[in-house]
Amino acid sequence: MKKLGCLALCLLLLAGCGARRGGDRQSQSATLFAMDTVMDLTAYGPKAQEALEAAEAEVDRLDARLSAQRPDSAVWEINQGGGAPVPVDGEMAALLERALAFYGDTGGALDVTIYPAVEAWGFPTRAYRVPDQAELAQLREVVNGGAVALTGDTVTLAPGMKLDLGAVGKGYAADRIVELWTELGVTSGLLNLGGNIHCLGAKPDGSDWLIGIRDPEDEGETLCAVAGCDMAVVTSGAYQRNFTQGGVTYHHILDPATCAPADSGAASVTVIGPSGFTCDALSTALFVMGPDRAAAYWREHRDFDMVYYTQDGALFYTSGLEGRLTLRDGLEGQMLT
Amino acid sequence: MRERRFLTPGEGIVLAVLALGAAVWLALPKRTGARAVLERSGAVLGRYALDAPQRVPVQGANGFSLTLVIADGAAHVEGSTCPDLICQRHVPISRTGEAIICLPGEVSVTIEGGERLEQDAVSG
Repeated sequence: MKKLGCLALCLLLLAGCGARRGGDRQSQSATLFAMDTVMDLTAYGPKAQEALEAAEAEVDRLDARLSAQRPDSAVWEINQGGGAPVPVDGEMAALLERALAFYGDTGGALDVTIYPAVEAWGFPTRAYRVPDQAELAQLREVVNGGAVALTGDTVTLAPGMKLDLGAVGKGYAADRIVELWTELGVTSGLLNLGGNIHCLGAKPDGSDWLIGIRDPEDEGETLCAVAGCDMAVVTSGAYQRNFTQGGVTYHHILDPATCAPADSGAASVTVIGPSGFTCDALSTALFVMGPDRAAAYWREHRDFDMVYYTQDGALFYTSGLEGRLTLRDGLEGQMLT
Repeated sequence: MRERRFLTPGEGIVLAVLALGAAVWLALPKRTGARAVLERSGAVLGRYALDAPQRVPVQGANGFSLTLVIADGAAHVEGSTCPDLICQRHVPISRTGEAIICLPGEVSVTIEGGERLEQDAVSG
Protein backbone atom coordinates (compact mmCIF):
# COMPACT_ATOMS: atom_id res chain seq x y z
CA MET A 1 0.00 0.00 0.00
CA LYS A 2 3.05 2.23 0.57
CA LYS A 3 3.80 2.02 -3.15
CA LEU A 4 0.28 3.10 -3.96
CA GLY A 5 0.61 6.09 -1.65
CA CYS A 6 3.76 7.18 -3.49
CA LEU A 7 2.06 6.89 -6.86
CA ALA A 8 -0.94 8.88 -5.66
CA LEU A 9 1.37 11.58 -4.32
CA CYS A 10 3.20 11.75 -7.67
CA LEU A 11 -0.11 12.21 -9.48
CA LEU A 12 -1.19 14.95 -7.11
CA LEU A 13 2.13 16.75 -7.52
CA LEU A 14 1.83 16.44 -11.30
CA ALA A 15 -1.66 17.91 -11.17
CA GLY A 16 -0.36 20.78 -9.05
CA CYS A 17 2.23 21.86 -11.63
CA GLY A 18 -0.33 24.10 -13.32
CA ALA A 19 -0.81 26.33 -10.27
CA ARG A 20 0.48 29.92 -10.48
CA ARG A 21 2.52 31.54 -7.78
CA GLY A 22 1.91 35.01 -6.52
CA GLY A 23 4.72 37.54 -6.50
CA ASP A 24 6.46 38.21 -3.22
CA ARG A 25 8.78 41.07 -4.16
CA GLN A 26 8.55 44.24 -2.14
CA SER A 27 7.07 46.74 -4.54
CA GLN A 28 4.53 49.54 -4.73
CA SER A 29 2.67 50.73 -7.82
CA ALA A 30 0.43 53.65 -8.65
CA THR A 31 -1.58 54.84 -11.63
CA LEU A 32 -1.94 58.58 -12.25
CA PHE A 33 -3.78 60.62 -14.85
CA ALA A 34 -1.56 63.64 -15.31
CA MET A 35 0.20 65.62 -18.04
CA ASP A 36 -2.61 64.62 -20.41
CA THR A 37 -1.69 60.96 -20.19
CA VAL A 38 -1.86 57.97 -17.87
CA MET A 39 1.19 57.01 -15.83
CA ASP A 40 2.06 53.72 -14.18
CA LEU A 41 4.84 53.92 -11.62
CA THR A 42 6.42 50.94 -9.85
CA ALA A 43 9.18 51.18 -7.26
CA TYR A 44 10.91 48.27 -5.56
CA GLY A 45 12.60 48.03 -2.18
CA PRO A 46 11.95 49.27 1.35
CA LYS A 47 11.51 52.90 0.24
CA ALA A 48 8.97 52.05 -2.45
CA GLN A 49 6.00 53.77 -0.81
CA GLU A 50 7.98 56.91 -0.05
CA ALA A 51 9.27 56.90 -3.63
CA LEU A 52 5.77 56.74 -5.07
CA GLU A 53 4.57 59.61 -2.92
CA ALA A 54 7.55 61.72 -4.00
CA ALA A 55 6.91 60.86 -7.65
CA GLU A 56 3.22 61.76 -7.46
CA ALA A 57 4.03 65.10 -5.87
CA GLU A 58 6.64 65.81 -8.53
CA VAL A 59 4.28 64.91 -11.37
CA ASP A 60 1.63 67.22 -9.89
CA ARG A 61 4.19 70.02 -9.62
CA LEU A 62 5.38 69.59 -13.19
CA ASP A 63 1.85 69.30 -14.55
CA ALA A 64 1.01 72.60 -12.88
CA ARG A 65 4.13 74.24 -14.35
CA LEU A 66 4.44 72.78 -17.84
CA SER A 67 0.85 72.55 -19.08
CA ALA A 68 0.08 74.97 -21.90
CA GLN A 69 -3.61 74.67 -21.07
CA ARG A 70 -3.69 75.38 -17.35
CA PRO A 71 -4.23 79.11 -16.84
CA ASP A 72 -1.91 79.26 -13.85
CA SER A 73 1.05 77.37 -15.31
CA ALA A 74 4.48 78.83 -16.00
CA VAL A 75 4.13 77.98 -19.70
CA TRP A 76 0.71 79.64 -19.86
CA GLU A 77 2.20 82.82 -18.36
CA ILE A 78 4.97 82.82 -20.96
CA ASN A 79 2.35 82.37 -23.68
CA GLN A 80 0.47 85.43 -22.41
CA GLY A 81 3.56 87.62 -22.74
CA GLY A 82 2.33 89.31 -25.90
CA GLY A 83 5.83 90.28 -26.99
CA ALA A 84 7.05 91.43 -23.56
CA PRO A 85 9.76 89.62 -21.58
CA VAL A 86 8.37 87.17 -19.01
CA PRO A 87 10.48 86.22 -15.96
CA VAL A 88 11.34 82.52 -15.71
CA ASP A 89 13.02 80.59 -12.92
CA GLY A 90 16.15 78.50 -13.28
CA GLU A 91 14.31 75.26 -13.96
CA MET A 92 12.22 76.73 -16.76
CA ALA A 93 15.20 78.54 -18.27
CA ALA A 94 17.21 75.31 -18.30
CA LEU A 95 14.32 73.36 -19.82
CA LEU A 96 13.84 75.92 -22.58
CA GLU A 97 17.55 76.11 -23.25
CA ARG A 98 17.72 72.34 -23.78
CA ALA A 99 14.58 72.30 -25.93
CA LEU A 100 15.83 75.19 -28.07
CA ALA A 101 19.18 73.43 -28.48
CA PHE A 102 17.28 70.50 -30.03
CA TYR A 103 15.50 72.97 -32.32
CA GLY A 104 18.85 74.02 -33.72
CA ASP A 105 20.37 70.57 -33.72
CA THR A 106 17.44 68.90 -35.52
CA GLY A 107 17.05 71.61 -38.14
CA GLY A 108 13.76 72.73 -36.61
CA ALA A 109 12.18 69.26 -36.52
CA LEU A 110 11.60 69.70 -32.79
CA ASP A 111 9.96 73.07 -32.22
CA VAL A 112 8.43 73.96 -28.86
CA THR A 113 6.62 76.94 -30.45
CA ILE A 114 4.27 74.52 -32.25
CA TYR A 115 1.37 75.23 -29.88
CA PRO A 116 -0.67 77.57 -32.13
CA ALA A 117 -0.79 74.78 -34.72
CA VAL A 118 -1.62 72.14 -32.09
CA GLU A 119 -4.52 74.34 -30.95
CA ALA A 120 -5.70 74.98 -34.51
CA TRP A 121 -6.01 71.22 -35.14
CA GLY A 122 -8.02 70.89 -31.90
CA PHE A 123 -5.71 68.41 -30.16
CA PRO A 124 -5.67 70.02 -26.68
CA THR A 125 -9.45 70.22 -26.41
CA ARG A 126 -10.22 67.21 -28.63
CA ALA A 127 -12.47 69.50 -30.68
CA TYR A 128 -10.74 68.28 -33.82
CA ARG A 129 -10.76 70.28 -37.07
CA VAL A 130 -8.70 70.60 -40.24
CA PRO A 131 -7.29 74.10 -40.83
CA ASP A 132 -7.34 75.28 -44.45
CA GLN A 133 -4.21 76.25 -46.40
CA ALA A 134 -4.56 79.97 -45.61
CA GLU A 135 -4.75 79.23 -41.90
CA LEU A 136 -1.75 76.90 -42.10
CA ALA A 137 0.23 79.67 -43.82
CA GLN A 138 -0.67 82.07 -40.99
CA LEU A 139 0.34 79.46 -38.43
CA ARG A 140 3.74 79.04 -40.06
CA GLU A 141 4.37 82.72 -39.36
CA VAL A 142 4.16 82.16 -35.60
CA VAL A 143 5.75 78.70 -35.33
CA ASN A 144 9.42 79.55 -35.17
CA GLY A 145 11.65 78.22 -32.42
CA GLY A 146 14.47 80.38 -33.70
CA ALA A 147 12.56 83.50 -32.64
CA VAL A 148 12.37 82.61 -28.93
CA ALA A 149 14.51 85.08 -26.99
CA LEU A 150 15.84 83.42 -23.86
CA THR A 151 18.12 85.70 -21.89
CA GLY A 152 19.05 84.27 -18.52
CA ASP A 153 15.96 84.82 -16.43
CA THR A 154 13.46 86.06 -19.01
CA VAL A 155 11.90 84.66 -22.13
CA THR A 156 10.22 86.69 -24.87
CA LEU A 157 7.87 85.40 -27.53
CA ALA A 158 6.65 87.49 -30.44
CA PRO A 159 2.89 88.23 -30.40
CA GLY A 160 0.94 85.15 -31.49
CA MET A 161 3.69 82.72 -30.56
CA LYS A 162 2.99 80.05 -27.92
CA LEU A 163 5.08 77.36 -26.29
CA ASP A 164 4.14 73.72 -25.88
CA LEU A 165 6.52 71.49 -23.93
CA GLY A 166 4.47 68.38 -24.71
CA ALA A 167 7.28 66.88 -26.76
CA VAL A 168 9.71 66.93 -23.83
CA GLY A 169 7.57 67.20 -20.70
CA LYS A 170 7.07 63.49 -20.01
CA GLY A 171 10.73 62.77 -20.65
CA TYR A 172 11.71 65.53 -18.23
CA ALA A 173 9.24 64.20 -15.65
CA ALA A 174 10.76 60.71 -15.94
CA ASP A 175 14.25 62.12 -15.42
CA ARG A 176 13.08 64.04 -12.35
CA ILE A 177 11.41 60.95 -10.83
CA VAL A 178 14.55 58.92 -11.43
CA GLU A 179 16.58 61.65 -9.68
CA LEU A 180 14.23 61.65 -6.70
CA TRP A 181 14.18 57.87 -6.44
CA THR A 182 17.96 57.69 -6.66
CA GLU A 183 18.24 60.25 -3.84
CA LEU A 184 15.92 58.04 -1.76
CA GLY A 185 18.12 55.02 -2.39
CA VAL A 186 15.68 53.23 -4.69
CA THR A 187 17.74 51.10 -7.06
CA SER A 188 15.01 49.41 -9.07
CA GLY A 189 11.88 50.89 -10.62
CA LEU A 190 9.83 51.11 -13.77
CA LEU A 191 8.00 54.17 -15.09
CA ASN A 192 5.45 54.11 -17.88
CA LEU A 193 4.43 57.69 -18.60
CA GLY A 194 1.90 57.19 -21.37
CA GLY A 195 4.16 54.85 -23.33
CA ASN A 196 7.36 56.67 -22.39
CA ILE A 197 9.18 53.93 -20.50
CA HIS A 198 12.01 54.59 -18.09
CA CYS A 199 13.84 51.78 -16.30
CA LEU A 200 15.73 52.62 -13.12
CA GLY A 201 18.54 50.18 -12.45
CA ALA A 202 17.98 46.52 -13.19
CA LYS A 203 15.01 44.37 -12.23
CA PRO A 204 14.89 43.38 -8.55
CA ASP A 205 16.43 39.99 -9.41
CA GLY A 206 19.34 41.76 -11.11
CA SER A 207 18.33 40.89 -14.66
CA ASP A 208 17.70 43.32 -17.52
CA TRP A 209 14.31 44.85 -18.12
CA LEU A 210 12.62 43.77 -21.33
CA ILE A 211 10.68 46.55 -23.02
CA GLY A 212 8.44 45.82 -25.98
CA ILE A 213 7.87 48.27 -28.82
CA ARG A 214 4.29 48.41 -30.02
CA ASP A 215 3.34 47.38 -33.52
CA PRO A 216 1.73 50.53 -35.02
CA GLU A 217 -0.61 48.35 -37.04
CA ASP A 218 -1.71 46.03 -34.23
CA GLU A 219 -2.07 47.40 -30.71
CA GLY A 220 -2.04 43.92 -29.22
CA GLU A 221 1.34 43.06 -30.71
CA THR A 222 4.92 44.22 -30.44
CA LEU A 223 7.46 44.64 -33.23
CA CYS A 224 10.39 43.79 -31.03
CA ALA A 225 11.74 44.07 -27.51
CA VAL A 226 14.80 45.85 -26.12
CA ALA A 227 16.69 44.50 -23.10
CA GLY A 228 18.63 46.78 -20.78
CA CYS A 229 18.73 48.70 -17.55
CA ASP A 230 19.00 52.40 -16.64
CA MET A 231 17.42 53.38 -19.93
CA ALA A 232 14.56 55.39 -21.36
CA VAL A 233 12.58 53.87 -24.22
CA VAL A 234 10.37 56.50 -25.86
CA THR A 235 8.16 55.99 -28.90
CA SER A 236 6.40 58.50 -31.15
CA GLY A 237 3.73 56.99 -33.38
CA ALA A 238 1.04 58.30 -35.67
CA TYR A 239 -1.44 55.92 -34.02
CA GLN A 240 -1.17 57.49 -30.57
CA ARG A 241 -3.62 60.34 -31.07
CA ASN A 242 -5.50 61.04 -34.24
CA PHE A 243 -8.89 61.74 -35.74
CA THR A 244 -10.56 60.96 -39.04
CA GLN A 245 -12.42 63.53 -41.11
CA GLY A 246 -13.62 63.14 -44.67
CA GLY A 247 -12.04 59.70 -44.81
CA VAL A 248 -8.58 61.06 -43.96
CA THR A 249 -6.84 60.30 -40.66
CA TYR A 250 -4.87 63.16 -39.13
CA HIS A 251 -2.36 62.40 -36.38
CA HIS A 252 -0.95 64.61 -33.64
CA ILE A 253 2.74 64.78 -34.59
CA LEU A 254 2.83 68.07 -36.46
CA ASP A 255 5.68 69.04 -38.76
CA PRO A 256 6.76 72.57 -37.74
CA ALA A 257 7.65 73.30 -41.37
CA THR A 258 4.07 72.74 -42.57
CA CYS A 259 2.07 72.98 -39.33
CA ALA A 260 0.25 69.85 -40.55
CA PRO A 261 0.64 66.20 -39.45
CA ALA A 262 4.12 64.99 -40.40
CA ASP A 263 4.02 62.96 -43.60
CA SER A 264 7.57 61.69 -43.45
CA GLY A 265 7.08 58.00 -44.11
CA ALA A 266 7.47 57.13 -40.42
CA ALA A 267 4.96 54.87 -38.70
CA SER A 268 6.75 54.89 -35.36
CA VAL A 269 10.11 55.90 -33.98
CA THR A 270 11.55 54.59 -30.71
CA VAL A 271 14.58 56.23 -29.14
CA ILE A 272 16.60 54.45 -26.44
CA GLY A 273 19.11 56.19 -24.21
CA PRO A 274 19.89 57.24 -20.65
CA SER A 275 17.99 60.56 -20.70
CA GLY A 276 14.21 60.63 -20.83
CA PHE A 277 14.27 64.25 -22.01
CA THR A 278 16.60 63.49 -24.91
CA CYS A 279 14.71 60.36 -25.95
CA ASP A 280 11.38 62.23 -25.81
CA ALA A 281 12.69 65.15 -27.87
CA LEU A 282 14.38 62.94 -30.44
CA SER A 283 11.50 60.52 -30.94
CA THR A 284 9.34 63.43 -32.10
CA ALA A 285 12.09 65.08 -34.15
CA LEU A 286 13.19 61.87 -35.89
CA PHE A 287 9.55 61.05 -36.72
CA VAL A 288 9.19 64.46 -38.36
CA MET A 289 12.51 64.08 -40.21
CA GLY A 290 11.61 60.80 -41.90
CA PRO A 291 13.79 57.72 -42.18
CA ASP A 292 16.62 59.08 -44.35
CA ARG A 293 17.24 62.27 -42.37
CA ALA A 294 16.86 60.32 -39.12
CA ALA A 295 19.53 57.81 -40.19
CA ALA A 296 21.85 60.67 -41.14
CA TYR A 297 21.20 62.37 -37.78
CA TRP A 298 22.06 59.18 -35.90
CA ARG A 299 25.27 58.69 -37.89
CA GLU A 300 26.28 62.24 -37.03
CA HIS A 301 25.56 61.87 -33.27
CA ARG A 302 25.68 58.17 -32.25
CA ASP A 303 24.83 59.01 -28.62
CA PHE A 304 21.46 57.27 -28.65
CA ASP A 305 19.84 54.24 -30.24
CA MET A 306 16.64 53.97 -32.22
CA VAL A 307 14.19 51.56 -33.81
CA TYR A 308 12.57 53.10 -36.88
CA TYR A 309 9.49 51.56 -38.45
CA THR A 310 8.26 53.02 -41.72
CA GLN A 311 4.77 53.23 -43.14
CA ASP A 312 5.71 50.66 -45.77
CA GLY A 313 6.71 48.13 -43.12
CA ALA A 314 10.51 48.45 -43.14
CA LEU A 315 12.30 48.32 -39.81
CA PHE A 316 15.79 49.51 -39.07
CA TYR A 317 17.70 49.83 -35.84
CA THR A 318 21.03 51.22 -34.74
CA SER A 319 24.11 49.14 -34.02
CA GLY A 320 24.09 49.87 -30.28
CA LEU A 321 21.07 47.57 -30.01
CA GLU A 322 22.89 44.56 -31.43
CA GLY A 323 22.46 41.69 -28.97
CA ARG A 324 19.80 43.60 -27.01
CA LEU A 325 17.02 43.68 -29.59
CA THR A 326 14.75 40.72 -30.26
CA LEU A 327 12.59 41.05 -33.35
CA ARG A 328 9.20 39.38 -33.51
CA ASP A 329 9.25 36.05 -35.35
CA GLY A 330 9.05 36.61 -39.09
CA LEU A 331 9.95 40.31 -38.93
CA GLU A 332 13.17 41.39 -40.56
CA GLY A 333 15.20 44.42 -39.63
CA GLN A 334 18.21 46.21 -41.04
CA MET A 335 20.99 47.40 -38.75
CA LEU A 336 22.38 50.88 -39.24
CA THR A 337 26.15 51.11 -38.85
CA MET B 1 5.78 -19.21 -1.77
CA ARG B 2 3.19 -16.70 -2.67
CA GLU B 3 3.81 -14.83 -5.98
CA ARG B 4 4.54 -11.09 -5.47
CA ARG B 5 2.59 -8.99 -7.98
CA PHE B 6 3.38 -5.36 -8.81
CA LEU B 7 -0.14 -4.24 -7.83
CA THR B 8 -3.04 -6.07 -6.27
CA PRO B 9 -6.37 -5.76 -8.14
CA GLY B 10 -7.65 -3.41 -5.42
CA GLU B 11 -4.58 -1.16 -5.71
CA GLY B 12 -4.97 -1.15 -9.49
CA ILE B 13 -8.56 0.02 -9.26
CA VAL B 14 -7.72 2.80 -6.79
CA LEU B 15 -4.81 3.92 -8.96
CA ALA B 16 -6.97 3.90 -12.09
CA VAL B 17 -9.60 6.02 -10.35
CA LEU B 18 -6.91 8.49 -9.20
CA ALA B 19 -5.36 8.65 -12.68
CA LEU B 20 -8.76 9.20 -14.27
CA GLY B 21 -9.57 11.91 -11.75
CA ALA B 22 -6.24 13.66 -12.40
CA ALA B 23 -6.75 13.43 -16.17
CA VAL B 24 -10.24 14.93 -15.89
CA TRP B 25 -8.93 17.71 -13.61
CA LEU B 26 -6.13 18.54 -16.04
CA ALA B 27 -8.54 18.59 -18.98
CA LEU B 28 -11.08 20.87 -17.31
CA PRO B 29 -10.89 24.60 -18.09
CA LYS B 30 -9.15 26.25 -15.13
CA ARG B 31 -10.26 29.29 -13.21
CA THR B 32 -7.19 31.30 -13.97
CA GLY B 33 -7.79 33.86 -11.26
CA ALA B 34 -7.23 36.56 -13.86
CA ARG B 35 -9.23 39.70 -13.12
CA ALA B 36 -9.83 42.97 -14.86
CA VAL B 37 -9.03 45.90 -12.60
CA LEU B 38 -11.19 48.90 -13.40
CA GLU B 39 -9.92 52.30 -12.28
CA ARG B 40 -11.09 55.88 -12.67
CA SER B 41 -8.61 58.69 -12.07
CA GLY B 42 -6.27 56.16 -10.43
CA ALA B 43 -8.87 54.90 -7.90
CA VAL B 44 -10.02 51.27 -8.15
CA LEU B 45 -13.73 50.97 -8.97
CA GLY B 46 -13.84 47.18 -9.09
CA ARG B 47 -12.23 43.89 -9.96
CA TYR B 48 -13.97 41.47 -12.31
CA ALA B 49 -13.06 37.82 -12.90
CA LEU B 50 -12.39 37.19 -16.58
CA ASP B 51 -14.23 33.87 -16.40
CA ALA B 52 -17.51 35.55 -15.39
CA PRO B 53 -19.03 37.28 -18.45
CA GLN B 54 -20.70 40.59 -17.62
CA ARG B 55 -21.17 44.20 -18.71
CA VAL B 56 -20.16 46.98 -16.34
CA PRO B 57 -21.36 50.53 -17.05
CA VAL B 58 -18.68 53.05 -16.08
CA GLN B 59 -19.12 56.76 -15.47
CA GLY B 60 -15.71 58.23 -16.27
CA ALA B 61 -14.30 61.66 -15.56
CA ASN B 62 -15.17 64.79 -17.56
CA GLY B 63 -18.68 63.53 -18.33
CA PHE B 64 -17.56 60.59 -20.48
CA SER B 65 -18.94 57.08 -20.01
CA LEU B 66 -18.23 53.62 -21.35
CA THR B 67 -19.05 49.97 -20.74
CA LEU B 68 -16.49 47.42 -19.61
CA VAL B 69 -17.34 44.09 -21.18
CA ILE B 70 -16.02 40.79 -19.83
CA ALA B 71 -16.49 38.05 -22.40
CA ASP B 72 -14.63 35.00 -23.68
CA GLY B 73 -12.04 35.25 -20.92
CA ALA B 74 -11.00 38.80 -21.82
CA ALA B 75 -11.95 42.43 -21.18
CA HIS B 76 -12.79 45.13 -23.72
CA VAL B 77 -14.60 48.44 -23.92
CA GLU B 78 -17.82 49.25 -25.76
CA GLY B 79 -20.08 52.29 -26.05
CA SER B 80 -17.53 54.95 -25.10
CA THR B 81 -18.77 58.52 -25.40
CA CYS B 82 -15.25 59.98 -25.51
CA PRO B 83 -14.07 61.73 -28.68
CA ASP B 84 -10.94 59.61 -29.21
CA LEU B 85 -12.51 56.12 -29.07
CA ILE B 86 -9.03 54.63 -28.71
CA CYS B 87 -10.33 52.61 -25.75
CA GLN B 88 -13.18 51.19 -27.79
CA ARG B 89 -10.92 50.21 -30.68
CA HIS B 90 -8.49 48.38 -28.38
CA VAL B 91 -8.38 44.62 -28.78
CA PRO B 92 -9.62 42.55 -25.80
CA ILE B 93 -7.01 42.06 -23.08
CA SER B 94 -6.42 39.06 -20.84
CA ARG B 95 -2.73 39.06 -19.87
CA THR B 96 -1.10 40.78 -16.91
CA GLY B 97 0.74 43.81 -18.29
CA GLU B 98 -1.93 44.68 -20.87
CA ALA B 99 -4.09 47.77 -20.43
CA ILE B 100 -6.92 49.67 -22.06
CA ILE B 101 -6.90 53.39 -21.32
CA CYS B 102 -9.60 55.99 -21.91
CA LEU B 103 -7.63 59.18 -21.49
CA PRO B 104 -10.54 61.65 -21.78
CA GLY B 105 -12.57 59.68 -19.23
CA GLU B 106 -9.52 58.86 -17.09
CA VAL B 107 -10.56 55.20 -17.05
CA SER B 108 -8.10 52.35 -17.13
CA VAL B 109 -8.61 48.62 -17.37
CA THR B 110 -5.66 46.40 -16.48
CA ILE B 111 -5.28 42.69 -15.79
CA GLU B 112 -4.01 41.09 -12.61
CA GLY B 113 -3.43 37.45 -11.85
CA GLY B 114 -3.31 36.43 -15.49
CA GLU B 115 -0.59 35.01 -17.65
CA ARG B 116 2.20 37.60 -17.71
CA LEU B 117 3.40 39.35 -20.83
CA GLU B 118 6.96 38.41 -21.65
CA GLN B 119 7.90 42.08 -21.62
CA ASP B 120 8.02 44.21 -18.48
CA ALA B 121 6.37 47.13 -20.30
CA VAL B 122 5.50 48.24 -23.82
CA SER B 123 6.61 51.54 -25.31
CA GLY B 124 4.26 53.11 -27.78
